Amino acid sequence: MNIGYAATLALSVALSSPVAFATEPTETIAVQNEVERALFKTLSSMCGRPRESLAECPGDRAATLRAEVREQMARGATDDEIRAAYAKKYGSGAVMVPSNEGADQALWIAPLVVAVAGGVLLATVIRRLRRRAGNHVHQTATSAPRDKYDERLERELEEADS
Amino acid sequence: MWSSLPELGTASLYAVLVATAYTFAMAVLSAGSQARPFGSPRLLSAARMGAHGTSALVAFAVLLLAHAFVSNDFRVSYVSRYSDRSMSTTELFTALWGGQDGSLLWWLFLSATFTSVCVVWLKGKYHQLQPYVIATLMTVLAFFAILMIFSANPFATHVAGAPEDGTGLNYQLRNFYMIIHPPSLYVGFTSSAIPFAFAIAALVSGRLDSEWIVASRKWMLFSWLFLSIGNALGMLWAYEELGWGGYWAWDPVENAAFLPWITASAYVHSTMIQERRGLFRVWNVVLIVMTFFLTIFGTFLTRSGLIASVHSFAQSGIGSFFLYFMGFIVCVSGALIVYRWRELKSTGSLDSVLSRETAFLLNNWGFVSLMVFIALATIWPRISEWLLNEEATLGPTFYNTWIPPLALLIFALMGVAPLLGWRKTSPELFWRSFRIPTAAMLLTMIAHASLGHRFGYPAVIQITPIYSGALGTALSTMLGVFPVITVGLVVFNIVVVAQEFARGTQARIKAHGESVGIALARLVAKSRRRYGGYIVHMGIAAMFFGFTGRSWEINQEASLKPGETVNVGQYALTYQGPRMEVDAQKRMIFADLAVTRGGEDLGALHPAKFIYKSAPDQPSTEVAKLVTLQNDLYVIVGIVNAQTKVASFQIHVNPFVSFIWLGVIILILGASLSLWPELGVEPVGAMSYLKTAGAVTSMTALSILMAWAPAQALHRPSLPAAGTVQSVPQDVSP
Repeated sequence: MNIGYAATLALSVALSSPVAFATEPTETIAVQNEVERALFKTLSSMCGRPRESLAECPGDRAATLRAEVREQMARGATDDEIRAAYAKKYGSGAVMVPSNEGADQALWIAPLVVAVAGGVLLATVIRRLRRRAGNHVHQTATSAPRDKYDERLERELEEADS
Repeated sequence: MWSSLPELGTASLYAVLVATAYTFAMAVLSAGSQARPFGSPRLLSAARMGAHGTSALVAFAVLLLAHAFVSNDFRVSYVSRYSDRSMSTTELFTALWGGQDGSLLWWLFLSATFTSVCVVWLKGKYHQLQPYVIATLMTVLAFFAILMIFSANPFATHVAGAPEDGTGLNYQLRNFYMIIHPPSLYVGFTSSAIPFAFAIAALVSGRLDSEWIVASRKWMLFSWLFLSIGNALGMLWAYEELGWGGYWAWDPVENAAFLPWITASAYVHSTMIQERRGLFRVWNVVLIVMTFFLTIFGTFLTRSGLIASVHSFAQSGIGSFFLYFMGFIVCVSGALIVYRWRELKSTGSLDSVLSRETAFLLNNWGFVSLMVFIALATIWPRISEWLLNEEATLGPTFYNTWIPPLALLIFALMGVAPLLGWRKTSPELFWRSFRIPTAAMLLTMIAHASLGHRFGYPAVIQITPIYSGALGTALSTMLGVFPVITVGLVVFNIVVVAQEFARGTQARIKAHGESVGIALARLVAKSRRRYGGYIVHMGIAAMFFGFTGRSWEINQEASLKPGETVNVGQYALTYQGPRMEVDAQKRMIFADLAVTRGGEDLGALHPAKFIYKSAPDQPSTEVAKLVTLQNDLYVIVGIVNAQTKVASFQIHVNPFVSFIWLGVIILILGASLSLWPELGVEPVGAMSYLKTAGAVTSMTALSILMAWAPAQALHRPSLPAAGTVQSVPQDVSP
């Protein structure tokens, strides 16, 4: 490398963010294995970018947080215990998967209730429409005029199938 | 004239508001009554002219803003915030929708354009619906005009006078995707106002037969197509620019654009039940209203600052305007539906549970459940704050745990529905239709289960539960077997489509004695909507295969000295050292890597950090990719040490991502085929032939352009594009 190049690179390093171009990086490997990656993905890095997890943020602060979490993992804490401790220390917003406790359960129970209610409504509608078919009290519904070719295609398909 | 450009721009917005009010009044007054069913043709003509006049005024406002950008008129605050003197004309054009105020004007422009196109298209037809369609569209335009006049005027000037130079557009926005991604989404959003206007017109006029459904179905399909393209381009942008290795992070803004796509997808299926059987008229109205509502809701989410997102616009006071408008949409639509409830109620019946109608109903149930889940999760952080006084953040892990079961159910129904007959499915038809796709699916699943792990694609994977206890275990076990189920369903769906094409072709051969090629071509040409839909299904199957690739991704980090090699999956990457280049705007620090696979030289990758002069503390991350159909090698450089030259890398091997983009292209082609104009020229004459030729030519050009855009985006080299891993200082998305 020539001197000019080295000087420019050094200048760029000096001018740039300490995070991306630190002369002595505090942590070169952010995620060491898949077990910690799965856990880091559920913890916010609080790097300033919304919803960036510990598995993605390269910053020094994130490195410190990762080290903290690794320490707890080494002590044998479960994922839930680590997340609870993280939430206690940095606030509930720092955990990216809400716990399955208390009001947080509404997050999946509410849509489930809506889906079940929709299913019940669907079953009721189908039953009512089926009953109508059985009673022969129908056929007044107005359908849109069909495409001529579409009708012919249906006939041809039926003939080909038979 | 240009010396008073800001005042002229503001005046044009006021003129738009006045024009919408005039047109609204003319349209309502022109509407028919019991005594005069066809209303007043003169007033209707005035309303039609008013609509075109409104569009012309909006176009004038856009031209004024564009002129302000190209002439570096920094008196205009918006221009100074989103451009600078170094920006190219293309970048200046992009800046038109790069920030909040301009994007609202762009939204208004597209809405006005669709209004004009719709008014031209309506000439001589739908006389009783037309006045209310125009009045509804004017209400939508008036809302955006009011919004800009009172809260987000793109022509507002600097109080302290014009600065020497502008701040410039965020570098993340200076790329190809930002030229095509927001306009595609906006086209989808704004065109959904047309079917909404038809629904309101049908409710107000009481013409609740299938006329309005037939009139609006292609508009909805058009809107759906552009929402699909916009979402796909958003995925491409995230994949290329944000540099985190993925394409969809369930970011609130991504969700906001996805929600109307879900309800529009439900509608394009359920409308067929109304067309065929006259059933579910209330439901179709609700779906159309919901789709339009969700486009406004999404805009509200993006622009109100309600939810934190990497994409969102700067926080502003326009949220309350949107809240009022959303309330207005719900109240008016709800009141009209209740008012017309008796007339809307279907009188038809369902002959059998084992029918296509039931499959479509289940598909609608799946879509709506998915929409409810995503909508609730998106706004959950605010609900939690307001009701529980607790902060909450929902990351991709949460969504990726809960959504796949429902998505796969919808995907399975997508394959099942075409196999069921309308009205009922006889046991013979059921057996004949299902046997080949089911056999193909089962054989594939068996082959995958027995051979998949040998090739690095195991059928079952280990998933870390997100909760302790039974629920977490149940979810992770279910997710663990999804790779094999998804692959099976992909094959099932593809075989279903192939079988439908084969069945149709055979029917034509039997009925008309045509050769295979001619029979297939005529089958598709004459039944474009049906077979275009099947092609869309094929595209979605390809996309699902691409999504499944996530199950087998490899993520690795490495810190390398020059000359060192790291092996990731089948690839070996040798770090060759750092390199720096400088241009007028930035310094570019590359970390060059030589890539080989099984000893074969695959060339070099150049992940980089760009340091812009205007934002030296926010270096952008430039992803380097090696794209193959089998997988993408995706490399990001983290830290480059100037003294030791040691560089740290994040390396991802993302299997089958190309199938997602391939699926999008197939989807676009299928939807374009469905939208293809009718070739029949009933009023014989030179003009009708000319119109037909024009329609066909424009559709051909549009289809090629639409398929070309994502393909072009996909094949662009990644280096000139911008991206970042740092905080985002400006608005970065629609």
